[in-house]
Amino acid sequence: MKRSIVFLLVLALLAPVMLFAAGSSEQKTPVQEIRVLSSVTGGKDEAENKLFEEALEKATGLSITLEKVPSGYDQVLLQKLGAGEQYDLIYLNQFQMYTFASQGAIADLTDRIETSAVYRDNVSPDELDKIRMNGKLYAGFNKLEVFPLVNVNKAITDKVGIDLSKLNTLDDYYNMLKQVKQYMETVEGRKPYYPFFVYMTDVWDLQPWFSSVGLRRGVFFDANGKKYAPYVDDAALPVWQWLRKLYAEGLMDPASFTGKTGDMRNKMWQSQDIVMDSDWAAWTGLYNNNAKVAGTYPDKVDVVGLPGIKGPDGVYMLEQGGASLWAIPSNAKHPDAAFSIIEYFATPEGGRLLSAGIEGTDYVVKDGKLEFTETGLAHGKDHGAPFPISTKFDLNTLGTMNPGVRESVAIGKRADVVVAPMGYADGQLDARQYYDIMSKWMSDCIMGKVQAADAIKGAAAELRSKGIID
Amino acid sequence: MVSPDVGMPDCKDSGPGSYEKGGVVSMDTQTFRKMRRYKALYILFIPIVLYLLVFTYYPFVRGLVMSFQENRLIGKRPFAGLSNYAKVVADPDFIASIVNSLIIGVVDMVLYFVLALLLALMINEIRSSTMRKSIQTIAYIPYLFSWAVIGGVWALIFDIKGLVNAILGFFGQEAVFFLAETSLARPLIIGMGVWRSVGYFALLFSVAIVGIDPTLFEAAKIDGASRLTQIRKIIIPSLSGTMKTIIVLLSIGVLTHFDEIYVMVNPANRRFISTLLLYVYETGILNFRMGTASAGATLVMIGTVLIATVMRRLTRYDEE
Repeated sequence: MKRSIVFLLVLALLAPVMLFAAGSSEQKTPVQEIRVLSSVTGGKDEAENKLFEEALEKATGLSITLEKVPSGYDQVLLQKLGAGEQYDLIYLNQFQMYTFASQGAIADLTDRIETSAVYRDNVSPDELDKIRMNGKLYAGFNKLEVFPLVNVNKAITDKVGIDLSKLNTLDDYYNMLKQVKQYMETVEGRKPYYPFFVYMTDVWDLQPWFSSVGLRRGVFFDANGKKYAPYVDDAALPVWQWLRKLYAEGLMDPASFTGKTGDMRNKMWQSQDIVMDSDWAAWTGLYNNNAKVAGTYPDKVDVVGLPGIKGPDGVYMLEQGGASLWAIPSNAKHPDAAFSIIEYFATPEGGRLLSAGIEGTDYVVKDGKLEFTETGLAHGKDHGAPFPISTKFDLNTLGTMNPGVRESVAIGKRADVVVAPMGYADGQLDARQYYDIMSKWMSDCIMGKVQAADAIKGAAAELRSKGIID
Repeated sequence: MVSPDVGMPDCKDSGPGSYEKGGVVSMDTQTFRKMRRYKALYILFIPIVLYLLVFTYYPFVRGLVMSFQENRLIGKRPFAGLSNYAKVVADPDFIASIVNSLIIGVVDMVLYFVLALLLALMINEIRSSTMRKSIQTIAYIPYLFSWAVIGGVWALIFDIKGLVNAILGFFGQEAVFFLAETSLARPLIIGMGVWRSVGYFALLFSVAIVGIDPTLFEAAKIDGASRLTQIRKIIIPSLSGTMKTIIVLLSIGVLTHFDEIYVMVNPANRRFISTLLLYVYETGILNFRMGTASAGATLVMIGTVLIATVMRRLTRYDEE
């Protein structure tokens, strides 16, 4: 009796295993489930993300699970990969690409990309060169990066009687800010008024001003293969001194040191607490669009983009944003299928999904033209890539753009404007340390705690002591 | 009825695992018997033990192992010896964060303890029960706020256009940029912690005060002791157990300040308030260097154990 019970129990335990084994032997072509971990790319909410996933499946013929992480992406990425979860495709930024590549966590895609007809036909080789690490490519593009530039609220400067086309030097900008401050404090009674906000964390928005001395943010290699940081070059002194002067005279918002970009943006369009900042070209339009919704455009808010200041060699230097990318983890189960998604995102059709969104939800096609639904308009024609990477993608298909954005984007295409990324020292730069050191010394200088020349020397010495420069 | 397992005379003085001369019952066997006898209670422990194993000890062991491995997110992580520890210890930023952590942690500890005790004693002196409870609640409420909310509140108060500067302006004083003023960086962080936590620790003291035998006060009154004498001779000595617990609890937190730093750090004050856990977070987590982060975290843990052990000894925590 006892034996029979034991036999039955063992049989009951083994039955599901045997059935599963029998079932799997009948599956001749297992479905490839492609797992994608995404940050900004996808639907705006869970329901739309499902539709995005389906649209991507339809376009690629793959079975895809797209996990979109709404916030805290870096930590989620770290936790999931560190815990051994397997993904076929992951979203990452340029710094993460360097880190992951140096740890062997992502696959070398050089051969795949260089032999891809889709990439050859759609992606500029210049863009690819910007993400090479020791000549190799470890990721494909999510979108085309734009650049921050000077954004000025013309509605205020017009009241003061300032001609923005005549702002050519650091002194011109200083005088403009001074006039605006005086006007706002005396005529409009908004005292104290700090007209300029520059986001000091990461010393991120300073490129239009360092353009005046022809220097770029980050770390580069010189002709002898030594690493150097242009912002701590002696030639940078006039810009450090200029920033210090702005703060001393109440022209720079003290919140520049403590606030976030959200604070800066609200001050620009919502409360008009500032008249000038540096922000993405797309934000020129977003400022105006937000103001339009609030009923303050163009009387109180009419933001225009400016290229900053020409350098000694006659060009404006603007900084292209760090690339947002797709990489294939080294433990991916389906790297071929994952690469086909990377290729799809580089096509005009993929670009349309990443920008306009999902056909039938965000837009409908009428007479060959996109007609945006209310949902589509609310989603701002951005599902991960407001500016797709494909050179064949026609931005005009997205219809009317936000006021001012077309002009701001056009600045980057001017012959006298050079848009280039910051110096990553071929992926060797420890960005966190560079940002911390630079923002510390700049803050001390601007707030008047050390002289500009001493701050430059101090920053250079600290960068050198940490091996960031040679 | 006395259990035959409890207090067996032949086992009374045995050390763990030792055997009585010629006896057959070891301490282990005795423990096992006890466990069998109270198995229902031990079964109740299982979820807690599992929870601790899965969510505390397993990650801890994984982290410890990782601290001796190369920084690799995926795949096998080769053994790296002590190189992660060497990197962390040689980093001047790590040393600076030790200094910051100790200054902020120790000052916090002293202020939390002293101010909470004073607050509890003062609350205890309030005769009106409604008033006493109201003040206790008001003092405790900040502890319920998240650090993000408290950071926002303090930013509003101390911003260049905030409440304090508005008051200074009213009296014709120049505005002070509190949030980025380097000399005020640590006092602000410490002040935030005090504002948030003193009410909580005062509540712990208050609970202990309420538990003091009222006949002691009656006897003291009859003997003509003043209120101050009663506080000195009855209340404070009666609180010694609670004091020890709070001191040990606070000492465990000396090196683990993070949230308040995270919400208040900016380019100007970073070097004065960047603590060990912020260092671990920024160097390890944000840069995806798990080996380095684990080495830093392990050192923080060792430091915490050391501080807590010293404080246990100093307070004679384990003595009656």
